[in-house]
Amino acid sequence: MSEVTEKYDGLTRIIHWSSALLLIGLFVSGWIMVDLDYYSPWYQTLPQWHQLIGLLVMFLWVLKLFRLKRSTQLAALSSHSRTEVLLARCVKVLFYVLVFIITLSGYFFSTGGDDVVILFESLKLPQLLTLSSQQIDTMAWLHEYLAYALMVLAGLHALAAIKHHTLDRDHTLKRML
Amino acid sequence: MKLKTLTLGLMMAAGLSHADTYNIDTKGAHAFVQFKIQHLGYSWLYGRFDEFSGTFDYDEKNPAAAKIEMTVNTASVNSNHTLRDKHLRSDDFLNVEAHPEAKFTSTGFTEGENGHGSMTGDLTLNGVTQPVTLDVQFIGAGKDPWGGFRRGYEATTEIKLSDFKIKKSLGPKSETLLLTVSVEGIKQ
Repeated sequence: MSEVTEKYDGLTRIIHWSSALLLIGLFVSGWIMVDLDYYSPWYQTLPQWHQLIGLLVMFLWVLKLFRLKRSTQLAALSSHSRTEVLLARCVKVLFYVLVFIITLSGYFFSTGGDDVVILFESLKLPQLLTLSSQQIDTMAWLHEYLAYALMVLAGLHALAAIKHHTLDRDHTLKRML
Repeated sequence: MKLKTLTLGLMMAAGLSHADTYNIDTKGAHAFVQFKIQHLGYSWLYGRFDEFSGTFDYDEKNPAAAKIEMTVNTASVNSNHTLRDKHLRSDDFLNVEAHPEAKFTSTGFTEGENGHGSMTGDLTLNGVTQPVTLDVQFIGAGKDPWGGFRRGYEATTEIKLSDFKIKKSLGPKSETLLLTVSVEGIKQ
């Protein structure tokens, strides 16, 4: 297959775009739910959806992590400069680091206390770490501020894709479509 | 004349006698800082602070001089719900990062019958100091089985959250909190 028509495989593309959608959805729901009025009909359910989708993303990214081992990873386009390749690699690593810290800290602070957490009255979340209230607040701080960082990174990532598509007129974005 | 001298003598004795200081027994967990507030107006939600300390002075001959000072670690708020407690610690409620301590310093005690009475003082919560009056019940006092002397009270008051600039309101039925402070002091 020539470099210009080569695409990422179907599963990679599905995971990529569903991750994008879910992560943005998580950011927006997280943003909204902390300021919801107590009497809002969403007050009880939105945080549970947020937690459930967070879990889904965590599993999706574990799957992504395993798939990194595949030998069939696509190489960078030959038109990309060394700096671009290096930058892309850094952004990729940073995505993994941020998504794992954000999802894990979210899990840990919601399950770190003495009470049992059950989503939608059926999914019991096991307590993996017992945390003090100070540790819970620290985890929540990380969860919030790294989510902002993740959105900035996603924005840069999207701008870079647009730059490749419109300015460089190369195949970078098309490989993921 | 004789009666007058006697009264004067007693008053002097009262003035000279010094009050006993009691340490609030937090080590043995014989003291509690509890609160309750209505949920939607349908039920009572109970919570407590797990970490606090304090001392009080009491002199049987001069109860009016009784005083108490207590400090509460606001981050130790516990309502048996991890995420609610996290919310209570945030700046929507207790803002524990900015105001890690709540404090009560008494300003006066009026003893009524059977050791019960009414205590006035300044309560500092969320960085705001307001005068409050506690209804004090004397529970009992005497020797304990281990060689000490103990004295215990339970005091209650109502506070309006908005008086202490607590940002979040959970509705019209949940604006007043009932505070119960139950203490057992060990005489020093």
